[in-house]
Amino acid sequence: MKTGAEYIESLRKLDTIIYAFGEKLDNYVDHPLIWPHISAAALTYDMAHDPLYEDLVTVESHFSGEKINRFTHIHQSSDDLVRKVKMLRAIAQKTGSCFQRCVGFDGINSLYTTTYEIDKKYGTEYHQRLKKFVQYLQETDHMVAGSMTDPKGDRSLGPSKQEDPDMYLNVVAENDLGIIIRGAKAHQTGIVNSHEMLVMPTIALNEEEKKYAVACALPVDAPGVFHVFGRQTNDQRKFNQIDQGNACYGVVGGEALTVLEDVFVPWERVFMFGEYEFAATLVERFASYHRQNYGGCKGGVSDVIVGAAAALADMNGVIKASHIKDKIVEMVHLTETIYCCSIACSSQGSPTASGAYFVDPLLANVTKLNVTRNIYEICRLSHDIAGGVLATLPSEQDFQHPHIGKYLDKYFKGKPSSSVEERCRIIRLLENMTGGTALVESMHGAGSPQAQRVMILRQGNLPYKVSLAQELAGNEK
Amino acid sequence: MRSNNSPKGPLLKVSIKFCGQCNPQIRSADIARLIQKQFVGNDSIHFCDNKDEASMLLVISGCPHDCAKRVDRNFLEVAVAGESVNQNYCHQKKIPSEVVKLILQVINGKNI
Repeated sequence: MKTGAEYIESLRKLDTIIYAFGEKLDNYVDHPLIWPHISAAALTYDMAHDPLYEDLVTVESHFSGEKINRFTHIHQSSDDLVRKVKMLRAIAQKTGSCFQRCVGFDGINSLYTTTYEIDKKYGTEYHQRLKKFVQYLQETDHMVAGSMTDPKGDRSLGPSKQEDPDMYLNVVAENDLGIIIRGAKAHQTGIVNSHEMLVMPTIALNEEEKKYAVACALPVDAPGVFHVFGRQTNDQRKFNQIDQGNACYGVVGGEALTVLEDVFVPWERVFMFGEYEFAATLVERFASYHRQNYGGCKGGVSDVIVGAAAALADMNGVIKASHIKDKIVEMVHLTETIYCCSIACSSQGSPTASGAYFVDPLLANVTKLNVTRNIYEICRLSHDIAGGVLATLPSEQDFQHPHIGKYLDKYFKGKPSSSVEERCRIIRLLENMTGGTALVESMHGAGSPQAQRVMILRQGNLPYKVSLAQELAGNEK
Repeated sequence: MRSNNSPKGPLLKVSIKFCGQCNPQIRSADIARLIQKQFVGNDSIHFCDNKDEASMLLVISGCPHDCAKRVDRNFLEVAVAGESVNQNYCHQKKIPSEVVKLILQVINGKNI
């Protein structure tokens, strides 16, 4: 297993092409825009070597029997699924931010279960290839980004009806050696600091759309691949320290648009090509595994938000006020609710034909739908507790100003037990964790709320519930 | 803690195992440190990293769920799980002394 330092050094050996603010980044590893996200991902490596956390962050590989980082593991039991959630919460409590590795983790698990079923129907060898790829990940401990979301263009039209056929990534050519793919993948969390990307379709497909039914793995610095880093709320503050809030780990995962311009993928890295009827299965499996996570990772992030709100209330001298305590109680309640949901969908997991365990999809979708609401309310309550200073605090440069700094030190005092700088740091942490990009990620990450509602309706077993009511009402139908 | 009054016997090798600290209710690392500190200079006990060498497992789980994964082996075990020691309630501040008491019982040949 790599350490965090080894992971960071391994990124320097890649030729990843990244653009930000109109410029190609020469040394992206040390760039202030990217560094916090690398730092967060590095923690997933370091915690595997820490005796305090290794029980969750490491696991025995079912391939080799060796100890591996859990992010490269294929779930072998419902206990594995539960431990995944607990691991995510433990890491999120340390980073206060997204640490990106779960997307690829969910990608390999969803492909593991789906390729098995494709091979069973068609006699293909995707599952063997996928197993080799996973073993490679376990041996190298490389970070893989999950690349599902296509740009989609006109959402009222399917992939084959788009004016521009590249609105959904597709195969433009194939030969004895492999395939050539063209398109883009959007909202790519952590891809700029990953080693590999795992391409998957984003939507159910029909027979006309076979060329879009492609799943494959390729290095993020493969010829023809480049990434355009997304803007984040307050991203210019990454060039400051205190005003950034979470200077070590950022406030979101760091997302990019990844463009693939006629990129070659060898056959041994192709895990689906043309088996369009399995696209829906793959998407639903991935979505469920990914929605499972949010009570863990956002639970951990919310733990930090609760802590920041309580710390600030204490610094302001209002921690004992009953309405403050009540708001904190509500924040804890909402946090543990989403955690409950993640634990529930994990504990109710069951084996697939491949042997790998899959979460309860209904409960996983309920998890994410709760997150899309609860995070906003948790943040709203933290703003209520923090007060208006969250929106009006002067810059750190002003606090350091030789003339006006002393006035700010005077007028931004809270209780004497905390310094003005400590108070400012907590205010900035809370401000940056609870606004803008971070909130939107909680809303749309792993699929937008409507996607969860569609799945809940599908899984909701309405006819059975109708029969329960009819029976109790004494109706004969 | 000095070994002057401890009976000579086989060395007790203790391995410490943490749960993954997903949402700890106690300060597990501090508790482990305080326990080990009590045995500095005691030559009847050795805290080892390698669980294969150990004859006793001190499990420190951050909460009552006690989900630290045990290996499939017969270990003598002392389990801290949140504010409890071997499933008996114990305030966090008293956990180190309670665990030390149990370990000393083992060193002195008594059952726990």
